[in-house]
Amino acid sequence: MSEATLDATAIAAAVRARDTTATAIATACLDRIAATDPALNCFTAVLRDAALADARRIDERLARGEDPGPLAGVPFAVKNLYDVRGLTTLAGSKINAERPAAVRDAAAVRALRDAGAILVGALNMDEYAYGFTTENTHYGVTRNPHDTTRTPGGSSGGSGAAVAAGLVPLALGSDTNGSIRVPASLCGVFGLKPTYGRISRGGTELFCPSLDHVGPLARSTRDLALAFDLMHGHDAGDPISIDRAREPVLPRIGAGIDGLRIAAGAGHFKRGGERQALDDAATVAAALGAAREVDIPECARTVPASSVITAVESSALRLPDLRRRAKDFDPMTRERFLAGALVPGVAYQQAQRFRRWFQQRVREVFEEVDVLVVPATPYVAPVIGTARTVVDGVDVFARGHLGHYTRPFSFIGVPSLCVPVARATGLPLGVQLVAAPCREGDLLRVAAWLEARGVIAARIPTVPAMEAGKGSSR
Amino acid sequence: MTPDPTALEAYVDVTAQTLGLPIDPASRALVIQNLAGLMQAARIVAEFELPAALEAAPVFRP
Repeated sequence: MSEATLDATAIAAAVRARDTTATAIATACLDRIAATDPALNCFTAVLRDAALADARRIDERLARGEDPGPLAGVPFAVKNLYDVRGLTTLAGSKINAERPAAVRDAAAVRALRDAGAILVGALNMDEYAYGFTTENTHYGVTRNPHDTTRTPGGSSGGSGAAVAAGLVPLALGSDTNGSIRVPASLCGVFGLKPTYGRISRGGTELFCPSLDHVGPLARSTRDLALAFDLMHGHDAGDPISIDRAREPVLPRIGAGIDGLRIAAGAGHFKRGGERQALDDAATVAAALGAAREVDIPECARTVPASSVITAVESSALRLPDLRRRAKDFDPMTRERFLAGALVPGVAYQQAQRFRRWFQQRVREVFEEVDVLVVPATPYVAPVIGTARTVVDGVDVFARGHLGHYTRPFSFIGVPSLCVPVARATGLPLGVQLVAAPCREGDLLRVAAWLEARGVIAARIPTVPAMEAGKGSSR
Repeated sequence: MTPDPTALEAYVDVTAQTLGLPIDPASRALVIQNLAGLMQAARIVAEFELPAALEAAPVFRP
């Protein structure tokens, strides 16, 4: 059995059936990380001893006839903005490294551990999540396992790359403007940005509070559904947590797509991207029999509006450190945070008012449509260090433009699932499925249908791609 | 309308000083460049006329 290619559900099934042990799974996982991560730089901390101890406890429980949970023995890792008991929460920064270790796990980490999952480490990210490429000056660049000269995307780049490389079957990330969906697209894995407030952010380092979401990345639809079921629900520890009954989605993902009104995105979603990105979205929409196209009004304006909100809220959070020790920020973020502190209040308030207007338009769309199909990123993973690129005849910032298609949906908090389009060769690219608030179940149903028909699939890159970059990861 | 670059530079210096936010001379040009981008983004948002009665909620709810 090669654990590197199994999804979390299959690993848990094997452990619970005593076909293997949690200890064997954890050992193999940790050995893969030791062998491969030097080429990729996904991890900022590997919890070898703690993971093996946790795995032994799972095996002991199974030996006693107990059920350790639906993720029994499944290795997972988290973006290093999640609190992990005993570990300092870096959030990609040098400044936070001076903080004491967290005394308890973040709510989402706790939920997965309570279900039997084994935390094996913390993952690299852009400093304070302010970026789309995981080019972190303090902790090194994370590389895309499909081509180590390229970015895995960001800011949850360590999460995307670790799942894509087969280092862990499941990882947690966060998404403010696309930071789960962009790495999922560029690394060829599944990534779910849930409804705003649906999964608790309790115990995570916030970046831009009114836009911050947390969610899972995985290599199968069923793993995302299981992780969502375990993590979602009200939590008083997150002030924006939605007070709504839990609605398990896993039992329904095989229900098919009959009765779902599926549409393809037009307008903004047919501009500003390379041919392959637009064609992939069209291919998925056609496979689903999407009967119509929808053009959401003023979609393009969400890009500058979300930029203003992000800059102001994130700079406000960092203001004490910006005043005292700006030199300790990553050069990739420092001047952006400083500039954000100087934006006039009226600009922020106007962006928030526009947000409400746009939310109303999208609500109208979802009265007639259940699932919208749009591109996830405008192009495949750029080469690390690429500052500008020309796309659709326009010269753009290569990093910032990665969020061109993801920003409109995080802007108004609707759930969005990035799925990897199946292809045998070449660099991966994802497509977004989007639904009305709290309709994650519809997205996962559609994804399961596409996955069963081979339209979408996660692909683990071959070892030579990793060997090529060995020794050049930092 | 694009603001006079000199006015933006003066705005950065005065506003940073008013906020008690020291800006290292080595960072100043890049801060101004970033703020110019954000002000351009703000202008694109402001060009879209919104109904006067439209409110932004203090806590965002999807």
